Amino acid sequence: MLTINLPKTFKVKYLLIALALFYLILVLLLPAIAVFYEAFHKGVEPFIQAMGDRNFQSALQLTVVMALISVPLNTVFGLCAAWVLARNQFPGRALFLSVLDLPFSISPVVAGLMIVLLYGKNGWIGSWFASWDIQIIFSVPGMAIATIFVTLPFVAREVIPVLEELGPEQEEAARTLGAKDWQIFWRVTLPNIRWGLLYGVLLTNARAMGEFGAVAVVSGSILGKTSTLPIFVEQEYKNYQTEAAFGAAVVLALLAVVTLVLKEILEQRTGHHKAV
Amino acid sequence: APANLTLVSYAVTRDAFEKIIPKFTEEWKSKTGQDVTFEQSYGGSGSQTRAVVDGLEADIVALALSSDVQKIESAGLIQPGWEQEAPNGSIVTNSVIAFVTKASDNIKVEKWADLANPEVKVITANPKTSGGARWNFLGIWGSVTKTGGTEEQAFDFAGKVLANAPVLPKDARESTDVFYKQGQGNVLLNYENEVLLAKQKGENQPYIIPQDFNVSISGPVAVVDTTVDKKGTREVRDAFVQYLFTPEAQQIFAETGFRPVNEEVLAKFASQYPKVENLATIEEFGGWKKAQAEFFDEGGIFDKVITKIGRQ
Repeated sequence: MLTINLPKTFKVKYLLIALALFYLILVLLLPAIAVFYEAFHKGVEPFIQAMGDRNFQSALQLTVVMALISVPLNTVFGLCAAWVLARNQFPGRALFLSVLDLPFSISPVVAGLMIVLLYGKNGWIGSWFASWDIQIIFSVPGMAIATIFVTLPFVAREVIPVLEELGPEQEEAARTLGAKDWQIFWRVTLPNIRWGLLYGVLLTNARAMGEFGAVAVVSGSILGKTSTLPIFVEQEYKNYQTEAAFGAAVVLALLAVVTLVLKEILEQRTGHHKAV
Repeated sequence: APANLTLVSYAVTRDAFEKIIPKFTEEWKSKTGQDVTFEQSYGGSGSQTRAVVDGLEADIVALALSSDVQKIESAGLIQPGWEQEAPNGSIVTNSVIAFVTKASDNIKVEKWADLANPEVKVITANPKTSGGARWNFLGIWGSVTKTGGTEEQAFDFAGKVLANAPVLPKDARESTDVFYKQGQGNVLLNYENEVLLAKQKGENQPYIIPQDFNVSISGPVAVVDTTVDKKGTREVRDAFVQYLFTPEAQQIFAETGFRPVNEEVLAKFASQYPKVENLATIEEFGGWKKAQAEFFDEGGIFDKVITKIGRQ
């Protein structure tokens, strides 16, 4: 029995590994390689030339601005929401949780259109802003609103399960020892949830930089003014500027790599103190 | 004070405007001493129209269809009568329909009638979503009705052509991808200027301009009155629109694939833009408002053709 069974499970094991590898290569690795190939197959010069383009630089800048606005706001909001939801039972809690998930279930295009309906020239709030001559959509504020909307749930969604698993015991212990709320949060809760929080922040950042659908709807795609990197990629591609489009795509990919590296560094630095 | 203009246009005009704008700003500066900067936005004509109606503050729109400018007019942002404010009925460029083929194919497609050949697979976008595909459909239809055929014959012919279409992509760009990248179909119906632009960017494919009949695809330009009135400097905007009709600007349009509306420039490019004798404008279909309702609205001719070939 044993002699027959062992090679069989072996076979199954390697077959499964091969299958998983094949799948990963097909859906992850090959497309990523294709992007780099398209950007560089005519040498580095077209790439460097594309990077020097004023419109590219402004798109890069705006992409970073989008992340700088939405990541801090959604981190603070996400932490508050997670705290309230994980530590309290109240009527409407389930409803609050599903409302928080709306940005996941609503298509980004629809999200963009909702913002247009609300803040557009003929929109509910937009006409009021228009009377003050404040432009919301087709300019940076509208794009920031769209980015904040689509990245809203990440931090809360990552932190809630950690808080729930943790339980309130340590915090209560701290309280009986005389710690203030702020001290409890800073010294007890935050160290415990830091991985969940960090992961949530990274996801928020990645999505904020990469979001296309919702932002494209409200951007108006004004070159050098309201185009982010993903919009820039689409515009250049449609204008047959393949190298510029894929060059920008490479930069987007590198931004993602930078955030991953940052995460690794943070993990290593703080990882040593983890033995609590 | 320096002026800042926002130009909203459709995707393929970008190469032309990026060359025209610096020339204009230079000329304007030397003439008046005023600095002008331009914000530019390019995208599908339909979605650009929608954005302007929703509040994208455009000073000047240059779109693919007069009906798109009419939509902005209906929204109250452009005063009626904009067609008379610039030369040539405010039409700044022309184009025609081209048949793009594949060098590797042995199938001969030269005339509209060849599209009905059951061996030919035709790629054209869905006229419900694509402005360009509306021209294609009017071309298919007009190739019968404007050459002595009856509406019944046109209906039959349109049915045969659409039955030859394996898919109806959502816009012109997607139909180009279906044809080139996915390798579907034997002939692609596309604007002549799109084909020439793709050619300049290295996508070289044989194409012909059907001579037996064609439609004049005209691109209008207009000043958005509400924006201009708010900003209060109409002069430079009007000057820019006028500049688009000068031989210098028309030359650039011609170089980037558009048929110039200036006769002298057109004569210079005669070999690149072969003259089509039987050329129909949208007015011959009753103007865009009528054509839209008759052909493309719910229950219109296009729907009837689709229903008919669906039943077979």
